[in-house]
Amino acid sequence: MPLYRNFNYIKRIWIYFFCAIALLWAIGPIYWIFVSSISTRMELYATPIKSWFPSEPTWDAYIRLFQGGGKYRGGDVSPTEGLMWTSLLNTLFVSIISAAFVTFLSTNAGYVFARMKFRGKGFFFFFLMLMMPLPLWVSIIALFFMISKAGLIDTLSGMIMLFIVFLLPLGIWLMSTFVREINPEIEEAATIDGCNRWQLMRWIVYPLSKSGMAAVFLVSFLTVWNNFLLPLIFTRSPDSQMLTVVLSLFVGQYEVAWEDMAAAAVVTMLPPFLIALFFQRFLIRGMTLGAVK
Amino acid sequence: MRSIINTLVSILILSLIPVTLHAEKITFLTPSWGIPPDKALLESFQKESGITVEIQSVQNKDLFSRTQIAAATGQSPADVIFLTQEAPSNLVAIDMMRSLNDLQAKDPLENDLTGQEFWNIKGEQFGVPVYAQLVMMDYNTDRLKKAGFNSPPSSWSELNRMAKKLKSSGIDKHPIAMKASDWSWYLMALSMGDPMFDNDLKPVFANKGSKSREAMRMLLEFFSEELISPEIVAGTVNQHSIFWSGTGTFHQGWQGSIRVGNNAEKSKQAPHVSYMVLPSVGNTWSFPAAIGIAKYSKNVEASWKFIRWYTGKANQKSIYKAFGLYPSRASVAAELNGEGLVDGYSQILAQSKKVDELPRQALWWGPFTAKVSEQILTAVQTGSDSDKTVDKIAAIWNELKSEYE
Amino acid sequence: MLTDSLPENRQDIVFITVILLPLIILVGILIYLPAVDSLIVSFTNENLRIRRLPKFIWLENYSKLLENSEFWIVTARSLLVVALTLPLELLISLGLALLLTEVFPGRAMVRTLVLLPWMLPPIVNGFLWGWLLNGEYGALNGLLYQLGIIDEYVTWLRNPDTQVIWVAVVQTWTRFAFPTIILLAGLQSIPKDLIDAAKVDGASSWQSFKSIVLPLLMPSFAIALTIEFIAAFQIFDVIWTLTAGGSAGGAINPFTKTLMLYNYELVFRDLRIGLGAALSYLILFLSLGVAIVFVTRLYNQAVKS
Repeated sequence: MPLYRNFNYIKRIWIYFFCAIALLWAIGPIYWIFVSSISTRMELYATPIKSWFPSEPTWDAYIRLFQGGGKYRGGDVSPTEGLMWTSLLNTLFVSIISAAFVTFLSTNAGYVFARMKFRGKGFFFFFLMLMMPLPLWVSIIALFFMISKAGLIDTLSGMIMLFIVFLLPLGIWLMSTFVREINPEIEEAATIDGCNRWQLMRWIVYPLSKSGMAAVFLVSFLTVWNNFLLPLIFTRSPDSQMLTVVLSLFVGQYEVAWEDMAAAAVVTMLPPFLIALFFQRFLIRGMTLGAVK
Repeated sequence: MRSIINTLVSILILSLIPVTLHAEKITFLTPSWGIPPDKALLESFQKESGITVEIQSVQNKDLFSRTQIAAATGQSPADVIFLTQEAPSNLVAIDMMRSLNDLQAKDPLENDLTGQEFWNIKGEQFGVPVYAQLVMMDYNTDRLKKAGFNSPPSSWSELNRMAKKLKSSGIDKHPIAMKASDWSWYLMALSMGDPMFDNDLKPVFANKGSKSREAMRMLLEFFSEELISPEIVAGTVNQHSIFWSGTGTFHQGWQGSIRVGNNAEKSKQAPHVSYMVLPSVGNTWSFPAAIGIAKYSKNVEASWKFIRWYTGKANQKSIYKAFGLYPSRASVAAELNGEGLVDGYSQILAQSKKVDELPRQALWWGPFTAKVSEQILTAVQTGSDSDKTVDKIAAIWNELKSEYE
Repeated sequence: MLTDSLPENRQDIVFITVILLPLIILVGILIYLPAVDSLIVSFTNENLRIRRLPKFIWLENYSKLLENSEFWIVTARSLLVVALTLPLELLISLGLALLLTEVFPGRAMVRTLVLLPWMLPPIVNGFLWGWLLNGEYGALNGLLYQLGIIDEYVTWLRNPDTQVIWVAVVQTWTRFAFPTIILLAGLQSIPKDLIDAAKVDGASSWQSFKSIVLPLLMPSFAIALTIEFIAAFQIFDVIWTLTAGGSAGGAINPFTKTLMLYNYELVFRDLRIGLGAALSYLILFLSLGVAIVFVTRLYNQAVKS
């Protein structure tokens, strides 16, 4: 018994050790972003000794981000005035809605491909997956033409529709894999009890594929959150602006306002961080399939 | 479940309802340094004219992408577009800009607005000039003095010698802040006196024994002798950030760069930065900007009114005060100088008399100049011969020329 | 059996149609139609700067690309990036996924923190690493200098060879969260009782990992592998902001030019959209080719077992 306890203890230490390394790898540069956002330009230029926490930290960059009205600052005007809030809300809206739809639709489609047999199943699956590696620019001119004819340029719903379509192939592929891993005996038992397909989805499939759905939601959400090309081409007015385009405004004619961009980056990372934290509980071992017994 | 779906669908439908517009509205597509900086001024314009101006700002190269994709489908991305010096090759060439000749006939542009010829392509006026900038050089007077030189170099070989002295005496490890790109070569070639292109757009820079070849040779030498920091070759810094972070004595800047250079919050070189009129013959070229109307715009009259206001005295003054961009109106420039707001005015004036423009109106200028940068970078990385590099560049020019003509 | 339902069941046909039909229509209109349009463009000599009607030159664009050595150099470079990135990325994400399946206090927080690099917008990424890696005032240099590991600042990105290596590192850093999430979800669906049963039978952790966890993880692993292959093969953002310059001049660093950058050059800088579309299709075929190999080999094998 004592041996077992020691083993557990050693294991814990190893776990924390590797966690520390993982965090250093992942968070190290992010810490630097945070430090940049509260430093002055001259401190960032310091060499060779760099300060790991600025000697005179300042929240100026954050204040400038959300400020309205041009502020003369040694030759620059805050380029994102008035845009930060709007784009934050817009991007949040588009990302969440797109991710929700994609999760919902691909779980359904994933179930169909995982569990049902029908003529042309392979063909339809292939049809949906084939164009996944197609670079976006290939389609962009024709896509732009279609979307503008439909009057959906510069609308958030146009963006949502586009994102849903582009995220579906991966979502369907993922969900079909995850649904396939559900123990079929559960479904059998349910059918014997008199469930139809819809009820099956609602009561068995959705609850049991929570971790898969969480993964698809997160992946879709983040892909939309970080996407640059679609918002650039398909939105225009300040009201429908999205975060990634606003961030590019910090690239000035001669230099990048790094302190400001860093502050904007910190703000940009916050919502996905909170959402990911929320979804963590789905990524833990869900209702185990041993429940059949 | 159903209620969630209902809510989602209704949110979707709500977002489809377009925002109602009032009065006349025009859209203005611009990089961030083209946004009218004085909000109160813009407000008063909107009130007086009844025109609402919606500002859409993106990074410059994204501006081109957005416009080009819209052009490919026969649409305009906005009513008014800000035109930088790459615009002739990137926007006018793809037939995206509307000729302003008819509007000018009714409301002619004053002579006060300098630089109109740049935006006149094949007889059609495509833009009204907003600001004019010359490519200039500035330098750290204090550091030069420490090395024993009291005045800036009068020739490039002298600059070369000074730089080597600065490096060998340990004052500055990498005394020249220039990029491994097209502009560095143009700067040196033009200021050595080589016109680079003749009136028929033939590449005279490729002539045997031309000054451009000498310039290329010297530029590559700057890199091989590490007079320019290798970090510039790495590409993570440009010539401006490296100079302002303290490394470098000679800096390829622009008309207005000493305002940043002497700003203690942004530059370690403050307050010793001063312009130097380019050595040798001293020619430079300009990179102006203008504002024009998109081809398929439906609000031409309103756009023209906006343009006239934008290039008016008040806005030009506020642009200079906010961004340091030199106004195209000669009267405004004189006024600002009278108020003592233009640093280094005498040098700017002296340099402005020595301008030899590069043919930005050539359709293929965009791809050409990018390829020049690539050739120079390749030459620096692989240590190629400068003459071969110039030959390759000439070949690229001729190839593009025949493809487009 | 429920899993072998035949299409004759009317209820099932309705079910399948209601779910799949809208998706197929959407994908057909928004993905296939534009794709076909640009396929047609790839058969023409369209150039936005030259105002003439594009004429059909059929496969000439394709042969022009394939005959030019630049295409092959760029493809080789893309494959190099893949070879450097993929093993690193997958090892890290597999290790992390296994680590984070263990139960320990603070697990949820660590899991979320580890995802942060992926939440950084790509444009910030490049500038971030530009600031970290530069040889004049970079943070990495500062750190190593203060730790005494180096006595002079190093210009990490000076040489083209090291540029490619750093590109792989940054791409890994940017993307490793994605396969980690997928593998985490995949690990969740492996029934715990299988592993416990094996332990009771006397198998060591390594053995149970090899014979139980790994095969069951294969489908998710195959998906992660394929997606990351495509992401690395079609890398763009990292190279664009880190080494390519990307200034308004449009110059692209020829030493780190990969396929997608070449594509950008043809489509957006040279505005030769006919040639650019042809290159896009070549990229598609290459990506698909490899993806299909991965999928048929690994995925179907795993599903069978």
